Amino acid sequence: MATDTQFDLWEVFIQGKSGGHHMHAGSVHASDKEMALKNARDLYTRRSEGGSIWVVPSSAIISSAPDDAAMLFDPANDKIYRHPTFYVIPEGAKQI
Amino acid sequence: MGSKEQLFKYLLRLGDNALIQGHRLSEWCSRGPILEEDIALSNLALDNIGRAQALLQYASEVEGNGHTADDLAYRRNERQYFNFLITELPTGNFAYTIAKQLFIGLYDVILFEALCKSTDVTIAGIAAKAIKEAKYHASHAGDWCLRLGMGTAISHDLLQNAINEIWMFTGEMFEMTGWIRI
Repeated sequence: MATDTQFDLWEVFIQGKSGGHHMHAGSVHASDKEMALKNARDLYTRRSEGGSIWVVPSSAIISSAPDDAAMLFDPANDKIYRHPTFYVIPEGAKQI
Repeated sequence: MGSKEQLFKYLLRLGDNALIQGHRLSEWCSRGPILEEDIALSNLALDNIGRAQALLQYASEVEGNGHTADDLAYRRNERQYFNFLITELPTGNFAYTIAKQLFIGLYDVILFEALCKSTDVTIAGIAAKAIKEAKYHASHAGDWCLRLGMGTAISHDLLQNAINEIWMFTGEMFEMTGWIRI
């Protein structure tokens, strides 16, 4: 693999509006956290996409192994009662 | 010189500073040290071009003889521009650009904070937008000054040399000569 000469990699999360979740928007290169925040601002919020930014060193993220996918996720396939659509909404219930 | 003429010349001066600085910054487009910084510098350039557009638009209205903002931006000869010399200094290396950005950014923060209180509502409105941009520009340049100044011996020297060269151009920012360059 070629050596990355573009500083460290950071993952960027943008909150679209107040109270909402921070959603993964992409990644940026930066040598420190202040640069990561500014680069994220310049790359991902130029068109009013958000009001709050998180940046996290990519190296701090632990990901599940693709080989474990069957063990981790397949057991969810036949548990339809875990979905709210499995249940009938009672008459008159305003919010579920 | 009437007050309308004075206002026109003052707007040209403000607008030309933004216009020339924006074009100098745009020279970094596709030549930034890394992709992200390339985009950052282009963003700063666009802030300046936008500010120039607003100021020269107002200047054209004050002038009132049918010139558009584009006419003022691109159809004058070089002696009819009133920008600070610091804005037209060559782009130079990255440290040189950062040193220029720091001086201009810090000045713009002071200037536009004051202009937010202008009795001219159009200028106050432009300043209210510009002050946010100026704070970001100063912060961006300030971060980079720390990085370069405390980075390697090479980055430190590049920045120090740039500051030594550019310092003399900051005096012009505080001259009270009206619109006439002497």
